Amino acid sequence: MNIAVFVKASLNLSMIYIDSDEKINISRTPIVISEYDKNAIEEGVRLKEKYGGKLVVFSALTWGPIDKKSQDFERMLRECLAMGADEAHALIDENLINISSYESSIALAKLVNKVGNFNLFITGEGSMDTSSYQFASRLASHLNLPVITFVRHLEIEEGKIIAERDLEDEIQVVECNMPCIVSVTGEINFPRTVSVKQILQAKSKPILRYNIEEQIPRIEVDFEIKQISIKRKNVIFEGSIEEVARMLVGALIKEGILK
Amino acid sequence: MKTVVFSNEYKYMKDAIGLASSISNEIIGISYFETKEKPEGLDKLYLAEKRLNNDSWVSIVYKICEVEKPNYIVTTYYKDNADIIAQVCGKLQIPMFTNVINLREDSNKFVVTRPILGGRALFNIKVDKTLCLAFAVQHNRFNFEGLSKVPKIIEIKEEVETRIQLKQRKKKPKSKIKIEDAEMVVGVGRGFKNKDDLKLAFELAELLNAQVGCSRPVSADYGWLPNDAWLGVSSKSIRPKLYIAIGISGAPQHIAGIQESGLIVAINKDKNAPIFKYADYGVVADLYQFLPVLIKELKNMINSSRMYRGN
Repeated sequence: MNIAVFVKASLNLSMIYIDSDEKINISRTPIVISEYDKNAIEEGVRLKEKYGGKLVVFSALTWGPIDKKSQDFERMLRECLAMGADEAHALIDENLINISSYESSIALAKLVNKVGNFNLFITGEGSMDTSSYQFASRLASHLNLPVITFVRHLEIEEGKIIAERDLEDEIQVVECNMPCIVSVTGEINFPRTVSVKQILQAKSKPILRYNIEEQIPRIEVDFEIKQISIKRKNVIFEGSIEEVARMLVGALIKEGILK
Repeated sequence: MKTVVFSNEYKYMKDAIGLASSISNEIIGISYFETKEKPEGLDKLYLAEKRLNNDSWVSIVYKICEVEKPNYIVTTYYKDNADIIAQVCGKLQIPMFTNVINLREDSNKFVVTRPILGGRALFNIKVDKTLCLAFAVQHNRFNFEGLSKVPKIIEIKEEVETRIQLKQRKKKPKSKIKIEDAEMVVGVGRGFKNKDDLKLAFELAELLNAQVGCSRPVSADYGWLPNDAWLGVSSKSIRPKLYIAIGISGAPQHIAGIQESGLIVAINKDKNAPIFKYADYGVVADLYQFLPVLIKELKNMINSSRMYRGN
């Protein structure tokens, strides 16, 4: 069984660089694998271990400038390979910088068709940076395949996917023939951690880099990203536990919360 | 301007109609009624006679869009709605903006605002409003004022083939009171070692007349509390008067769900926990030692104020 996994190189939420005007400085913010895409890789590795076949990672670099991001991007792909993927195919192209899933799903669908045939396509439920929750659904339209989104448990029986979808009010169990696309939630598994040594050992596995060959449609947008900042008092009470409890209750009374 | 509004259940349609009515004069609805509700604010309503799965909805909504040729498509941001409309947008090759909290016009552009980076930042996107665009709006952001238009109803009768079979639906357990509506919320995190220990938090919550919420692991990983108690970017966002975070380190995903609280109190034994940066008042202490003392202090206060009032 051949599996394709899609990962996003997301802005690293714990290392966001903020300029003095509270704007997010993308150029100075590093990128890492998006949280739930790690679950997607893990699920792919587990299925590969069980059923055999090839596990291929796809990604497009969408944050620039390319020269500042390419090292992190390469490291992210190596991490996926160290987790158990066999090869990585990556789009690196000026025309893909600052794009959304509208464009990336088209570009990656074209690349997948070029690379080969797959039985299953896995990605995270959404990216942790721009959280548009569309990639899997859009990819399904471009590849003309069925998609099962928000999957928290997955089984394969006789060429069929049986999946548990985690929705707001209910859990749904659905069934679908392969090939199909699934997007996974953070609950589906615990992604394995890989050591620096394992990442280095994965160096022998291939990473193939591509430019986009044919133009893809692109929506022109201007955008800015601004930090949401709510001023807080940041008072830390000090003293014995009894004193601190009294101070806290006192503060809540003063704030008009307790009467 | 013509807008198609969609929701797989009519009860979630109002937010979408709210935005649609501000950017268009003709609104075409596509939905399904779980209960008898009177549709309003629409010129026309394509109505499914039974529950449909996402795969079927995609073909139906796409076909209707080909006939109606809308300028915009609007849905209310729920997982299924976003999935269905994203697939339709893929087929139509148009962009969609997810989780929109504000939209304003600026000459020939729309300025679309949505939270990103785990709710820590706002993404303001300027886009040509003459393009065909789709929006998935956040619940409770766009007001829907009773538009008295009664739509012409068109029943969706055709059988559509589906590639996905629904085998089972299991309702999730729900708390009695919606946490989004609570004035006071006590949040519990991984600082609690056992499910049983949560009784400390529930005791505190009872004294404060608060609801109990939690961070992702407590609900999603340990299953100690139902999913609808989970506060954070991929679950519930709250805006209570008081939020007390107990044993919660303050991951960005959690902060995103609670940062609009009026007053934030953090109790954590790690003085370097990020939660303190987002708190008005912080207590650096072991919750197992601190909560019993705080509970006693609150009880004393309540008793003395009762005595004072002569109760």
